[in-house]
Amino acid sequence: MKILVVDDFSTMRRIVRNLLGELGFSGANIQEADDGNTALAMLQQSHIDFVITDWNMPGMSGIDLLRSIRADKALQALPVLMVTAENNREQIIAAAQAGVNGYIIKPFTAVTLKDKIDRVFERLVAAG
Amino acid sequence: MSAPDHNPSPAGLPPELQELLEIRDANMFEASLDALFARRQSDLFRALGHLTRDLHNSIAQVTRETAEPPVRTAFARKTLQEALTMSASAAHDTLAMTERLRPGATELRARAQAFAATATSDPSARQLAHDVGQFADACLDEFTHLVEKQSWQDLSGQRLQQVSVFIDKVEEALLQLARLARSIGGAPATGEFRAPAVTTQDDVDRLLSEFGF
Repeated sequence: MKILVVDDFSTMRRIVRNLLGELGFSGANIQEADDGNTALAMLQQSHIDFVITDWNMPGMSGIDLLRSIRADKALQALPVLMVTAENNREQIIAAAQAGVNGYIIKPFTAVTLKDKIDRVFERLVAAG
Repeated sequence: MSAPDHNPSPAGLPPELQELLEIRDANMFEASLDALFARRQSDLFRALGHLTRDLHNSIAQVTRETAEPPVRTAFARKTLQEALTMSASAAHDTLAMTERLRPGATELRARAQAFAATATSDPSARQLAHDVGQFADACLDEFTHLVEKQSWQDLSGQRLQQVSVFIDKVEEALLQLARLARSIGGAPATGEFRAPAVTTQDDVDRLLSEFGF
């Protein structure tokens, strides 16, 4: 499975990459982008199976990236996990309304990441 | 029901009003009333003059602070950026350390488990292999915690960026205030502002006119 990690902080991208590695995902299949615009271009140019994105980023934010993905016929079914420090009710509702598949509040643990990824794919399988 | 009191006691009123109410001569009452109004009006203008002068002083001070290139805000921004860079560097160093050690710990755990599983006649060797395996296992758990804990850098970095944006906004607001002070006060305020004493109504009016009143 090819995963795209989107975050403007290189440390957070590296942390997510490390934790995904511990969960058994191959490092070779993990790609990185530092904002929504770069991520969207990568998604349109190469096959990605799963997106993990931050919310606050310069350029295109995570929520705008999510909306762009859902608005793109070729990408609209792509599962998106939001990993963010934004924990207010309005933003979580906005993400849900935009069609996010999972939402993790920073800081988080490997166990939480595994749990949310498992849930995302369980729901996708259940939805057929 | 008691009849309304048409002669309320003047108790509680300021002495000057009590004195006024006790005057029975109409002309004298009117003259005293005019004098009272004039005194009150003068007090009011004096207070307004002080207030305006304080405001002018404050704006002049801000103008002085921002007349030069905004060195202080630039320094604050630079310091925040340095803190951000250093914390990111420290987090990357820690992550690099765990990335270097993890493969070795994983291999050591596998070899220790394999050795412990083999039939060996030496119980101390078996125990050592078991202990090494447990230690490697604990190290791997701790590496995971170390990685997780580095997310503080991301969070603190976001906060530092928010503070930097806030500084930019404050700086812009101060500059706007300085520009406003220059536009309404004539020449840019430099050096400490010393307002002349406001003693007469003309002084007050002149000062107020500078502020568009």
